[in-house]
Amino acid sequence: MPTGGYEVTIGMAAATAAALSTEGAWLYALLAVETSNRATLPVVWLQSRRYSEKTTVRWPGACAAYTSPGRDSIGVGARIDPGFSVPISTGQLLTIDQPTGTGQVTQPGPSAKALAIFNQTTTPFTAGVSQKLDGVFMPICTLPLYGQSVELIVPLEQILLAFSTRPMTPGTVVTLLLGPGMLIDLTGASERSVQYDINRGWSCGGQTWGRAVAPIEEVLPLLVKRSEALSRAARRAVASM
Amino acid sequence: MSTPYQISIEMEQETVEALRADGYYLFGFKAVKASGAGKPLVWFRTLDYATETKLNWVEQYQAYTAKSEIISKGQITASNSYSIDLGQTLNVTGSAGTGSVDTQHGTAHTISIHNLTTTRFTTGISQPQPMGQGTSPMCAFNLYGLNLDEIAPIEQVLLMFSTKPVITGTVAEEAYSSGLIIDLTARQSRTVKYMIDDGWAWDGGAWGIPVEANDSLVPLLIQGD
Repeated sequence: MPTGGYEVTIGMAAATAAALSTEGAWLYALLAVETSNRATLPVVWLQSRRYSEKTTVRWPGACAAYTSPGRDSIGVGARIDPGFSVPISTGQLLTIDQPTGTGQVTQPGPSAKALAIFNQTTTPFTAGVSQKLDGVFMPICTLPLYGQSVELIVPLEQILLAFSTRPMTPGTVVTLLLGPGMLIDLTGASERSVQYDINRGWSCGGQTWGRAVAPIEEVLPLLVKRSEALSRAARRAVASM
Repeated sequence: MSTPYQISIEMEQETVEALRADGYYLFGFKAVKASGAGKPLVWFRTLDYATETKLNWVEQYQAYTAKSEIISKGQITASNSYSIDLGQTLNVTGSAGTGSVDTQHGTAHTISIHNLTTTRFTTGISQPQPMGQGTSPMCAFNLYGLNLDEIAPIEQVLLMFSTKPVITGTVAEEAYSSGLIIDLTARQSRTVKYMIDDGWAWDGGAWGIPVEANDSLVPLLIQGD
């Protein structure tokens, strides 16, 4: 991860910004993860109407792991409201040892490249990873964390930006954004520049790090990469704990 | 099978005669739910009213595209219209606004219009008029290139009498006169009264929502998500 974090600049003509504003469109941002858990779902990270001819989305890449009580309502449209959140880095392990979902971060964890969450209790939780945005940790994904299990999550250097008039508050589980988007890969870079036009959509000058996403395209496979290797590592980690 | 809806309007003979003598039209508007910035259109306009007037319609829709721009009091003429059901998507693929309906994909209770071109259009949904005068659009939204609009019809009809010389498809931002929104969500048939000097009357239930002349129609007829 670049020490200065990440920055994506969106350029657009004044007419495009005005049209978006008239329509009441929001700028949305979601971050991608690789995960050991097949039931992981993406969560709206940023919802903003503060856009103009030049708009910069900047984030430090700092992560937190969170838990939330219960597993009842975690589906598309549900809103994640972390009950416990703690900063964590890749290679570290959060061990939940209380039925309230709280615990401690220790290192090393079971995987050098992943954030690990171990539920030592027999109480199931909703869990996931947050990333800092404007000084606040906001959830980027959610997954079921059963008792006596380990989940491994790797935050990926990929952001999905989209403009949509559909209201989706940060923390909402989504699989469709219903507006044109672009998935931007920041691997090996800390800054990217893209353009948006109200009729022509997103462009990145033909670079391979940007991929246009249609309004009806499912964003789940773009934002959640289920990894067999991480699943195996998680199972090995449970066995050793 | 499409659900039938009915509104009965009862008027005294004196009221009918006064409305006729002054050249009043009965105007009808229909509400939708959508997250974009749309405008309501005159859905129907008729002189075909009497002491007992029955407005009947069914849930039968078309999605349209048009080149007309949405300007205040301007008229929207659907250039391309496609029969569509709730939960389906009109994919616009031609630069003239033509396309085809995907019956397999969409959002429940909603009509989706997906612009796969980079040309901007006006879009909306149309429904057969209650007086059998054909199908006409009830709302207009900007449909930008590569964007998706979602419009969910709601069974709420605004009725008003006015002498205003406007025709179906006209963008209406303010009420022309005092009117009544009739909500048929809970019951598909309602009866209302109109009196030339006293205005609209109903049984006082929450299904009737009075509208004053010059009230903004946009929040009433284009309801946010």
